[in-house]
Amino acid sequence: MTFVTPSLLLGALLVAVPVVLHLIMRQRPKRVRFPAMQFLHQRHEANRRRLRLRHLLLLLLRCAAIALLAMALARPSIQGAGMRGGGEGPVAAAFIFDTSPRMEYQHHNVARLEAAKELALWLAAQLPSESQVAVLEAASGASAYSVDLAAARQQIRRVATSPVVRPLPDVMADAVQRLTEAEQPRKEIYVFTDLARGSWPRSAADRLRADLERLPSAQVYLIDVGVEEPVNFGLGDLRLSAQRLAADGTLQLSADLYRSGEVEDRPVELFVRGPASELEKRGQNVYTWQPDAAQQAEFSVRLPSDGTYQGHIRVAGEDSMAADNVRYFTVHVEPPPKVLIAAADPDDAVYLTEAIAPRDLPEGASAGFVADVEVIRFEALAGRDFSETAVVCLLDPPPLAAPVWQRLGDFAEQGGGVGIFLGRRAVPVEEMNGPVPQELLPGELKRQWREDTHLAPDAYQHPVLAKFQPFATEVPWKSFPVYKYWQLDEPAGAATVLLRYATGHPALLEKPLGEGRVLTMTTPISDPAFRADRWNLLPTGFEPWPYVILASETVAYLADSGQTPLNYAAGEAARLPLPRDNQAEMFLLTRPASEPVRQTIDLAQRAVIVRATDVLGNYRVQAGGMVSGLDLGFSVNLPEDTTRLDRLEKADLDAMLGEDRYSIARNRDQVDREVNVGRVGTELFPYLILLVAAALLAEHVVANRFYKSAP
Amino acid sequence: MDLSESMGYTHRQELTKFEYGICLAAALCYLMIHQNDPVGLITFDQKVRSSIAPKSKRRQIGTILSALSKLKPTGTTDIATSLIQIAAMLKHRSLLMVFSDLLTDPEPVIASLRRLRHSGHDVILFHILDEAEVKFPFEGLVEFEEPETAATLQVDANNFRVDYLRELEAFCENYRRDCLQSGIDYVRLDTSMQFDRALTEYLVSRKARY
Repeated sequence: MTFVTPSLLLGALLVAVPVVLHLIMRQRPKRVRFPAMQFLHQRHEANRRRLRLRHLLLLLLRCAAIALLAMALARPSIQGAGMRGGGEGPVAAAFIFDTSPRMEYQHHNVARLEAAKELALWLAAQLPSESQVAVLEAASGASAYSVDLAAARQQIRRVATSPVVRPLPDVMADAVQRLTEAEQPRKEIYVFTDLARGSWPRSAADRLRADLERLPSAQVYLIDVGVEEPVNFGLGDLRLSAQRLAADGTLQLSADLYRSGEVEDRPVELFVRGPASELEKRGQNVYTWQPDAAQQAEFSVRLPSDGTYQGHIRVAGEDSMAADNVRYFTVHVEPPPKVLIAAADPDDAVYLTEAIAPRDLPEGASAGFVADVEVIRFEALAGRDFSETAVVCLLDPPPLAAPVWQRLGDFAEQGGGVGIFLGRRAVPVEEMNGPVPQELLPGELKRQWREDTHLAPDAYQHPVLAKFQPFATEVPWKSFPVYKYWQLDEPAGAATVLLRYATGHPALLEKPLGEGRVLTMTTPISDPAFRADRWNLLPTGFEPWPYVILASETVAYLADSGQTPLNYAAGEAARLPLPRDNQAEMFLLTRPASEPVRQTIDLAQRAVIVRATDVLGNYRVQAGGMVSGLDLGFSVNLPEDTTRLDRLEKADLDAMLGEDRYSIARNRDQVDREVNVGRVGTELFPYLILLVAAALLAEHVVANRFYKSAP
Repeated sequence: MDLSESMGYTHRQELTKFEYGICLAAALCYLMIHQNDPVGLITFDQKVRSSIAPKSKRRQIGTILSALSKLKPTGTTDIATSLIQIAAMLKHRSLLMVFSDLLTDPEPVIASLRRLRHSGHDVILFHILDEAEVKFPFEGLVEFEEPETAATLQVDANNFRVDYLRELEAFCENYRRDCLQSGIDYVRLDTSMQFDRALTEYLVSRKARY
């Protein structure tokens, strides 16, 4: 219980007045002669007690009326600013703006952010003078307090949407931090938001509640500028069949379609720009957009020649929110990486070759990673030039000559990938465990382990295994038994185990070497089934699709192909690896709808790194001239969940902010009311005045009956 | 005729109980003299104060009216003692009409009335109350003062009315019942009643009985 004007409570002292009046101005009774007193005597005692009771009741009613009136005038409230005083004192307020592109949603020709800013400006004008306002945007980091309200209003006018936004709970944590430092006793947080789920990740709930606990006196107002029933066409995240593919390959694109509103037909268009062509429309499909229906737009386009292809798909026509109408993409068409497979017998390489360079692919099928494979015998390794090669795979290598190991080590250190698939020829182990081979191998070979086991991945974060992640529990590893493998020491130093057998021993190990990487598998990867002493049935079990994925992902990882993304979410730093023979020191960065800007290449990183990706669209990176130079690109999109208009339910907000911890307002009246309730609390004035009236009425009735003048 | 001071009380009527009683007595006297019945008058308060012997001559009307007109209600009353005294005074079987407000302890009064009746006298008890005593028309806080004893009592009249009327009713009912048992006519009157109509009503009802 708090009071707006606590001093008026002193008025309650006036209850002394009726007491004094009662004592010194008792009403004189009418004096009447009456002979039949004998009938009065008998009931007199009971009547006297009743009379005294009524006197007391009357006195109490009068005192209560005065006390209640004094209390009502002191404007008591529940949940107010406390005895710190009035509802008009200066406030420390934080205005938080959701600046996600979703706030550009147009309703009655007003963008949501504009509506939010208008309300914020009005609200700032209502704040008591000497209040401090911090304007925080979801886009940028912390902002300082404005020196005065006029400066705050300027800041509010400058608020704009941004593709890169932080979740609002994070911004609220900043606001709490700022308000904690503020001197003003009354603290208020205003969040201008459309209450879409994208800005309020559920995972932040516990943290947000803990943050708000730190400042229990702060009032939280959610100013909801969202639209209850939005009308919108939206594209989900763009899915590409591959980010890198070979010339003449077919790129398949698909994106989910989201519709809010009524069913409507509307086309989706595909635009592509090739290395030697301007942006042109390459496809258009008309879809019947239905709300709450799982639909997707699908395109396929043939990319004829090497180079960087960029483009976008977009929803044609006008829409309430433009942010989710376009999705950009970049793919590189390049020659497949050269993979050199060394084997004792070229026939041993047949399964691996088939996995990474399939010959008879059905029409329309997407091969994913495709390599340019050359199979040689181990003897040919000695004089081989690796300059054009991306990956060297050793299938069941015998102990090689030291210079060969040396050259392979050099190759890896310069950025090449070496795959060593150990098998029955790796004897004697002393030679394999010699210092030179151990430069590449992740550990010493101990013994050949004979046990009927199988591969048993327990984590899927590594790129080699990432493709298994969506169906991790469904991979029938047991159908592809491993009978024999080399037991290696647990890796020491930089080497790590990517994959183990069910026995717990390492199956696939990675050892970084210079700028390259060496993967060692402790059992053969291409062991023919017809051998009596076969070590495993990985490639030869029934429908060995896990083998195909594992083999191609392993080699792709070694080739560093397809691993570096070309399509980024806004705000992520883009990293484009440079070819090993790159000599350029500068590059030209062309951001969407901008002129090219010259930038320096950080040669130590061997990659072009672009951190400022806060503009959506296709970026182009060029270096070393138009003919033989570098021509790379990447695309920046909004993550799909930042543009979904699904709104939070009250239960979600309760879970996130705590029940009764916040108020929601949608317009000026509601803001006015909620802020008043928040600042002053729920006023008890009307109820108290009713009580005063009731007390006065009761007093009147009692007094009238009581003091009705005798005739 | 009861001479107590309480008989001289009226709250807001033209006639006090005493005057009302006198009118009533005078009228009855007139009627009875006209049918040649001898009529006398005895007044009392603490004891018998005066008496006029019963006669049936026409002149007796003047004598009684003159005596009645000179009477003034003063002081306290003792009805029971007075009635016993009267009983001793009466030599023949008589019709005794008592005019009183009976505002005293009822037991001795009833006992003395029974004694009169036992002596062979016919008794009619005219119980005269003021309209205010019957209706208790007071409102609010009132301090009552008894005329005879000057005792006072402060009460909330509104609250008291029901209790008072209940007490009064019980009191009157007590008299009525005892009188009925003893063969005494009990006539309850209040000063707001037209006394001629009251009288006529009574006489008609008495005529019906005999």
